[in-house]
Amino acid sequence: MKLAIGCDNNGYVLKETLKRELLDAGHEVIDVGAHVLEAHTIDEAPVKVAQMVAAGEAERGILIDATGAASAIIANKVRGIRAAQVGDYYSARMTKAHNDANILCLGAGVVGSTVACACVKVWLETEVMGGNHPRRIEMIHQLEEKYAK
Amino acid sequence: MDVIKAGAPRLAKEDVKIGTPVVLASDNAGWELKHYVIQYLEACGIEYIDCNPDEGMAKDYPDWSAKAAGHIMDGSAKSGILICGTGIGIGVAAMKCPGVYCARCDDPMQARYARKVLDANVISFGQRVTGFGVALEMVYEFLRTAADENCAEAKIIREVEKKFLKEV
Repeated sequence: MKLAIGCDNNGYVLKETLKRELLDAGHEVIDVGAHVLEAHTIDEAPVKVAQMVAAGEAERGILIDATGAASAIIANKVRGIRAAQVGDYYSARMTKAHNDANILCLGAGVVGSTVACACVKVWLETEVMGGNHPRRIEMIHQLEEKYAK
Repeated sequence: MDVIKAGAPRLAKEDVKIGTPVVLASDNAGWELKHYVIQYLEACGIEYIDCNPDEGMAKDYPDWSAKAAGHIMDGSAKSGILICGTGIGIGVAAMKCPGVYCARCDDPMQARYARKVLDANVISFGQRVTGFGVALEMVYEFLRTAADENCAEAKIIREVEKKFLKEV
């Protein structure tokens, strides 16, 4: 799968670990930065990754900051993005199954590297569920129609 | 149930640093946990608006996100707490609305960070993920933590939003 990954300075170390895991698993990874452990504003990576996923330049995105919240708030303002902030395996699985989340946000201050890798893995492997869930995703699209530029 | 007796931290009204009333919404998967939050807010004397008091089985979370976001957008509520199965769907849908900055939380640190650094006005969490004890600790941190003055991160979030959403 073609994945875009990005972080701020708080997420740099975890981003490097996840990138290595994804490359080892055979994924194509576009790293939008930060590339070094230096000050990096919270919006740079979320805006880049969200725009790439929305434009189809990457199939899915992964964002890492201190808690995942800043990345999720910013990415979710972009039309077509459903960015899920997760800290556990169950939520990572369900947000693909129910919400068809196309960006996963992780907090380097919340999850350790093994839990983070497990979340990413299950989110990549899970299939979207049918039933009531596609209708709810369509309702999110309607909110985007109303408010997105 | 007496939530204070069950371990929830006491919060005096004068220590509440977030704007009120707090708007509450959940789908059916967050219904029971929302009631623990209501009991906590009542025990602390905090004003709230419950978007769906009579519709416990209402299943489509984006409807409740939109209702809660409506209260934030028109100013009738100053903050919000959203609950579904994981806290993700209801939060993602709410964030599509201008002026809603929702942090999903699993633990009190995230709730404190969301207020202090991001000046988030809404938190979400999931009844299938978080038990009531941890949930009420998160509500406590959300209510009592003030945003840092002139916080760069909070400003960035609000500036970026203008690029992607219409002004209402």
